[in-house]
Amino acid sequence: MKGKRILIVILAVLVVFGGLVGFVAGSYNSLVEKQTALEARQADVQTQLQRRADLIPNFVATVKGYSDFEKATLSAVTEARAAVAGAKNGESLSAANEQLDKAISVWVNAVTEAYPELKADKNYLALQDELSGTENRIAVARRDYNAAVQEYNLSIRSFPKNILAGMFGFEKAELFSADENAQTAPSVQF
Amino acid sequence: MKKFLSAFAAFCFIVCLLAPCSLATGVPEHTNEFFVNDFAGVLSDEDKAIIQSQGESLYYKTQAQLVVATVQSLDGTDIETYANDMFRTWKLGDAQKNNGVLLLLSVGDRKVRIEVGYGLEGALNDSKCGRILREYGNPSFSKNMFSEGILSVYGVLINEVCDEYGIEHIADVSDAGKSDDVYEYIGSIMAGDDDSFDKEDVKAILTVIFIVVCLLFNLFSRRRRRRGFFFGPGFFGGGSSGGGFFGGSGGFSGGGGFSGGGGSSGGGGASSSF
Repeated sequence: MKGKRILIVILAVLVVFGGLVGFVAGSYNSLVEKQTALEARQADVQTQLQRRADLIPNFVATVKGYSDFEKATLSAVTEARAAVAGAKNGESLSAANEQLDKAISVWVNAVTEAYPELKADKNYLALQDELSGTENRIAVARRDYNAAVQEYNLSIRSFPKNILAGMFGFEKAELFSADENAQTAPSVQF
Repeated sequence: MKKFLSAFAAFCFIVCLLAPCSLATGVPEHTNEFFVNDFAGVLSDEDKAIIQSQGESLYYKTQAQLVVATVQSLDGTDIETYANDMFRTWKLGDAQKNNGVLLLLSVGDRKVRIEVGYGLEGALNDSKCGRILREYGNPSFSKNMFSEGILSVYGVLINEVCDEYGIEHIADVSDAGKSDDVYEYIGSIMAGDDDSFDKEDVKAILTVIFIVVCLLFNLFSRRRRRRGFFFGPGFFGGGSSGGGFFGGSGGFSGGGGFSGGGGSSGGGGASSSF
């Protein structure tokens, strides 16, 4: 009789233990999943930023005929773009991108002010669409990234996963937040 | 103790089931027709019928969903964000092909946007969309001839998509009207169900089955005086998926209507003011 009792107790302990292991495994996997999604969204942002940097030469070439004397502002764009291409880590890439943002808007404003006839130029308009489209894609990619960050952060901070997060070293991720100067979007007048 | 635990498990299950599903805020629900959503009331009945039939035709042939929406106001949001939210909430386009397009007009803000799904970004690139809006849309929109403008832009867009899929142009000066094609008739009966059965649904259903089995097991074991309970591993670990039961599958249509195929957009397309 007593032997049977012990057996049942052992069985119960095993079941509880099994449950715990299952819980830990399930939670760990879910955290990994969320972290991976976050990294993918971050890569998406980088892709869109790269796309924009790649568009710039086309943009410049189109208005080359018009913009010969805007050389000062144009060289600012070229430099900023080179900085983006040469950025070594995430932080300097963000900073370089913001510089590129500003350089582009300054240059475009200068060009369209000097050459109002550009507004009717089909190639110019086409590239304006492409540039706006790219900016939008960057914005969407950043929103998606922030959404992934939120989900992940919520997960590692909620009970009971927060215990596991601490154990396995899952750290809070950072939301993307625009630079203070960039809060007012560079208004590009076309 | 055992009965309490069974009750607790049941309670947890019910709570998971009732967990709020995620819906983007501020975006109205699409109409039953789906391809025309004239919330601003600026489209004529004729034009709405033409657009609807063209939209359906393209959908049957390619699974692509070209949808028109007009609103009075964007409620302070910029049109790019609004359009993207609407596109993703309604899940335009096939889940695999991502071939949705949203033509959004805000009468009050005097803005129009074409939002293109991932899969059609090649056929409808940003500059093409901008050109289409400037050439076919703005001349009419600036004169407040919204119905004409929308019909025109829609026709051009739909033909572009037809080109992409190598099929005959759907839009024509003389409109399509009702089709006699028996396959389309059958298609119209079968259409409207969102067949996408994703991972969230499978998880949720397995959880439900598992819990039901546990409860039954506990119930029937009363006769044999078993001790111990069966509480299953991973019940809490996978708990977050329970709430996705309603939110994850989306697109449940109200009997006969069309609904989104599960597609998404990354912000491609172009906007214009008039």
